[in-house]
Amino acid sequence: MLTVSGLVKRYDTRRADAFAVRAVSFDVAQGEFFTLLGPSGCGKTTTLRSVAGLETPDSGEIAIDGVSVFSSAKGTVVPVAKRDIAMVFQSYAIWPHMTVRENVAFPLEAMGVNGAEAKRRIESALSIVGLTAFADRPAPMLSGGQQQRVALARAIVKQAKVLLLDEPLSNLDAKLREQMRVELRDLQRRIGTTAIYVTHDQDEALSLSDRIAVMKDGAIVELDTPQALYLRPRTTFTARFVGQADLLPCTVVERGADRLALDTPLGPLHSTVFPPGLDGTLALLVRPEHIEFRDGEAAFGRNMLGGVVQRVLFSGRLVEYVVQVGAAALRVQATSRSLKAEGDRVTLHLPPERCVVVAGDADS
Amino acid sequence: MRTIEALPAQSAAPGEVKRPIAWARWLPAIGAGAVLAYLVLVPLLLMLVSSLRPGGFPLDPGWTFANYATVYGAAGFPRLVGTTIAFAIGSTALALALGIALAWLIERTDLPLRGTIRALVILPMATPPILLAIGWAMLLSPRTGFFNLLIRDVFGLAQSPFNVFSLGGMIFVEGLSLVPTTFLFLSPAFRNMDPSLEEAAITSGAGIGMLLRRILLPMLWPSILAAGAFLLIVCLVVFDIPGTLGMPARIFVLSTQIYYLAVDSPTGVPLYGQVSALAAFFLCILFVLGWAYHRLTRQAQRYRTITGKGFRPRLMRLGGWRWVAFAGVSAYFLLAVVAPLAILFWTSLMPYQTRVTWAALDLVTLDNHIDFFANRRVLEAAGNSLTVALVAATAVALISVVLAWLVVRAKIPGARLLDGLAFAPVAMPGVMLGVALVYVYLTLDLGFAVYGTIWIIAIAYVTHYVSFGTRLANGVMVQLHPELEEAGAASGASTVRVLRRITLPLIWPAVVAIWIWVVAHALRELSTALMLQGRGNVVVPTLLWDYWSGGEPNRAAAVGVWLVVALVIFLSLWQAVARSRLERSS
Amino acid sequence: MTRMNLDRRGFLAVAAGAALAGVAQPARAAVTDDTLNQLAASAARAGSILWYESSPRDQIDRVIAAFTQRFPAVRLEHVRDTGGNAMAGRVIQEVQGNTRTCDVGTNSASVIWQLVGRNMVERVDWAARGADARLAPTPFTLLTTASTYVILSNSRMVSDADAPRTWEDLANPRWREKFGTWIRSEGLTSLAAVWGEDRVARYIEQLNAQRPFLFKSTFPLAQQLAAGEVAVALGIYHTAQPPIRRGAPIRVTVPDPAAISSLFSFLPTAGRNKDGGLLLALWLATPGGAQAYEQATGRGNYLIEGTETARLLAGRTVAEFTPDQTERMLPILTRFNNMLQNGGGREVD
Repeated sequence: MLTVSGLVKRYDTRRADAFAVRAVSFDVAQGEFFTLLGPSGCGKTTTLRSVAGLETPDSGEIAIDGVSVFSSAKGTVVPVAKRDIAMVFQSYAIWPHMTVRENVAFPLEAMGVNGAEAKRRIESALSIVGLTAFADRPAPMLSGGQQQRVALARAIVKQAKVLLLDEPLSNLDAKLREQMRVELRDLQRRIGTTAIYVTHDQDEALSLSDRIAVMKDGAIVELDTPQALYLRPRTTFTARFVGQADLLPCTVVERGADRLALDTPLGPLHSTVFPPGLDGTLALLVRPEHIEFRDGEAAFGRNMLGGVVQRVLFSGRLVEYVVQVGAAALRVQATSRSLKAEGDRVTLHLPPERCVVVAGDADS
Repeated sequence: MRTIEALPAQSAAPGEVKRPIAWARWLPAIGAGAVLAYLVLVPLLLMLVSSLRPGGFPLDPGWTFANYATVYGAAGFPRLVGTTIAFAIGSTALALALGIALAWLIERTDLPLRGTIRALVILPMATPPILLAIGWAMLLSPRTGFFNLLIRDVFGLAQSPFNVFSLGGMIFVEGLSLVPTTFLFLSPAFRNMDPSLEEAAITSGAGIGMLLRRILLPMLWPSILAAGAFLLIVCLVVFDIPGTLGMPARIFVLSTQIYYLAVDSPTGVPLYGQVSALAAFFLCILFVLGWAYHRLTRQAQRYRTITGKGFRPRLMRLGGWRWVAFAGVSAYFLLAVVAPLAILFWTSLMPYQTRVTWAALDLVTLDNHIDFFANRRVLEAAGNSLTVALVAATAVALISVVLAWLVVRAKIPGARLLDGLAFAPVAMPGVMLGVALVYVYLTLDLGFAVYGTIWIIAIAYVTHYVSFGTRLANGVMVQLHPELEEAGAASGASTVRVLRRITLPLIWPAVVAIWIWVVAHALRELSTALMLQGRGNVVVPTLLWDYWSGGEPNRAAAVGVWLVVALVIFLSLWQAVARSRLERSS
Repeated sequence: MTRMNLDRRGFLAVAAGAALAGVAQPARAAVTDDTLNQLAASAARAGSILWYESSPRDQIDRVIAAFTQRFPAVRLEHVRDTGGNAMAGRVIQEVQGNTRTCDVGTNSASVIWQLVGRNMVERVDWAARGADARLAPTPFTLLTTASTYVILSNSRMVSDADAPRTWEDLANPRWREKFGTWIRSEGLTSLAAVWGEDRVARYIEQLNAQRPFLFKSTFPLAQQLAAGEVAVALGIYHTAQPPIRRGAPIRVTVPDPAAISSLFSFLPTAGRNKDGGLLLALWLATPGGAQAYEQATGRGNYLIEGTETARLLAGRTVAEFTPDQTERMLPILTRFNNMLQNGGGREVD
């Protein structure tokens, strides 16, 4: 549905290294929820805006549903208004001089859709986002969540092939954000549109997306499904950016076909998840929630460690512990079913299938 | 389904960054540049040429720097510049202080009678400055000034407390006369601001002083700076008030010098070369101010106060201060609006200039007003004035919005140059603009006559007032979050539709302010209209000038009264239209 | 500063005969009706006459009415010059822009002399048309009217006995800070034609000691005198008339010598209706024309019998430089202007 290849955008044409986006390429399938995830300044918004046509890249190709909308080689630039996209903005960009209905009607007006057809589509969009009762309110007289819904309704009413969302939830408070996340996912499924979503929030990315492209410094670092990125990241950057992570330096002691023996600050450990090539510096990722307490067991055997609970952080559903293992400290997350106290001696198990070896320096 | 803008394919060397639409991005700049070049650059260049001609007329033969040497080498020049700058800075500071306070109180608080005050506060704008200066002389002159005599009577003073014929007096009157302009400059910016910014400050425990100093002024910095830069240049170039109030006390400023060189030089011919050389000084100051403005407002995103996250248009409650503020505004209103308009009205009822006394009431006559309406040119002049004012105001509003959009939003290449060009005419003395336009329309054959018609006056006004319009439109455009317009484009709307349906309605308060300001100024403007008058383009200010220069200030005052009435009618019509729009939409 | 490349010999001959100053006496030679009627016939064929002059429109409407009554076939159009140097600028621009300029203009000698210097003024044998030599001191200028400098006082503030009547009276210290005058020194410069430059310079220093109020025009000066802001003033006769007509308490005295500033009519070489221009200039110098002009504008031709101005100046020595002395007069004017503006302090060029 969407093809982006070799996208380059400089923010200062006079400086050789001033890239906002360098050589970004990806494909998005029909109906897919695709997320660009990365810290601020990584180029995700520039990429999205280039797809929308709000920015003109310096080179590359963009095609929507097989139709080229930007091609530096052919010199084509389709203006924003002529692209088959709809967009939701970070600031909502609700037009304060219009009512809710007028805001939602605007894209249809611009496309020349009117009469019964327009009325039907507006009502349908408003009912999808649950704003039918507010249709004739002046747009500024709405709460944050309602405004967010207006922005969504205005985007979906257009029935564009691609829906672009630029950090749409970042201005909402935490509770509303979670609620809207669910609504957004449901909505996208229901209308079956292709969505490109930009966020710096990994929770949002993981829970919403079919696939995620992790971006850093204007380039895509990894592109995969949420599960794969979380459970089997291939770089320290992804490991840290997607989910909580403690990274430990490690060296390979012995290499088997599907298993590595490692030397780590925690002692010898085994891992079954590792990249094909094992050159350069390596780091070991163990997510706090994957570490198990083995109460009563002795700290022997494969991937079993003994330690002392140093700190307890109780947050209700989950409890986070810091456990001192030899010279190193390890974060461990467990449910609140059984509680440990500071100073307790504990035995930990690090499942080898959750000990992930990634390329890169653990301390960087 | 879609049209593709095909552009010539370019081959690029490997590794080279291709900019396929580079030249297309220049198109709007070229278009806007052409309009501005025609309106502004041609007169500007003619002025430059004039400054380098020995005879001072652009078509005279020969080249010289003698004009610059004469003007800048004069022994009294540094003192002249010193006085001028003191006058300009003093007047600008006064106008800004009062304008900011008024704009905030009227647009952002629950001040009583806000709507009425908003409409009336700009009325003195329709009074020609020459009448305003005379009015203030009658209020504050040392021997016959109404306020002076009043205060002397009440407090039993032997000496008059005020002398309007002084630098302080000039600054006071010029500052007050610029408050309506400042108010119009700033009120759209204040009106557009998200109240949550204020509320956040107040809930943080900020008092009103701190709110102004730490939140409002920094947030509205672009508008305030733009207003300040514009006012400063106006004060450098303005002649009527320093001419009327400074000269009697031998206080001279650069604009008095320009008047002397252009109108009164003993040689018998206007010394346009020297006038142009002096104007170059104004232009330099203008460009420094323009540059400073750009540097100080570079981080435009900091000033976006219309965000598209909706806000409730709430007003701040002043509480107990409400009546204090009302008393302050009323005092200002009496002093700066009622007093000069009342003295204008008084003058229009007197057979000759008289101090305000009970005894003088015996002299009251309607002759001046009757004379004005009996003047056989009054209908023609009113029609011409109206046409010129409406055409100029509409053109200025349109050009300003488009230019501000190109400069602030589209950021087309050469945007800063365009902006500087649009700002420049305010530094051109009206007489030089007139000289330039005369040449343009004497040498340019458009197939129809422009020289000597009302259209040359309209063109002069558009050129001159675009500097005001673009300053105001820029300030408001900076406040507008670009996503509001991007959302329009992403909805499938063309650029024109986005401008018409989204940008324009959002900056509408600014458009109205520009329009009203230009109407008022075009109705009253004298010097350019006189310079460009011919057989068939009499306007109301030239009638006023006929009376004035015929030694009949009282009849001139009667015309001034009717100009104010005209503005009142304009404003009430406007309010009526705005109200009916509001009723329809609610 | 001025560049005069005209043929000097051409007018020196005339200038030699022109008195520097003299006791006002009406002119003797007169323009005949025949001359005027012939010119009117050819002027009518050449279209309208375009006249640049600085009086307000409704005043000139009355002059046009009188002209049209006398010459019904000729159409006279007036474009108002805004005073000062504007007319020279306008004529120069129109000639350079190759568009129609006026057929006749009325202005001061210094303005006309600038145009003469640019070869833009027609040389006319005025005597051959019947004009008195004193009306036409040079081939380029025919006297039309003159501003007369007068001593004004507010009759409510100053008693008849105290009222100043002579130049010396104005310098009396009793008027310190109660005296106002024009910021320009045209009148005082004219006075130098009789008194000599040095004597007038000393006189200006005396005036400066009065700490005068300076006005950019003599119209507001008269109004401020009426209002009482100043008690006495050195003003111009016709600019004091509007408040006087309306009953303002203003007393007028013409001092002796009487300083005047003359306005002359001239014919631009680029004019389209040459005979029309000549007709108007000559008619304004006949008793009928001069009286019509004076009644409309308040200022008149002191050399024409029957004008108010002639009566006003009767028996007084008239002080003014002749047009051909413009070059000599300009430095004096500049010096005196500077003296007034700088309050007698250091002179600034």
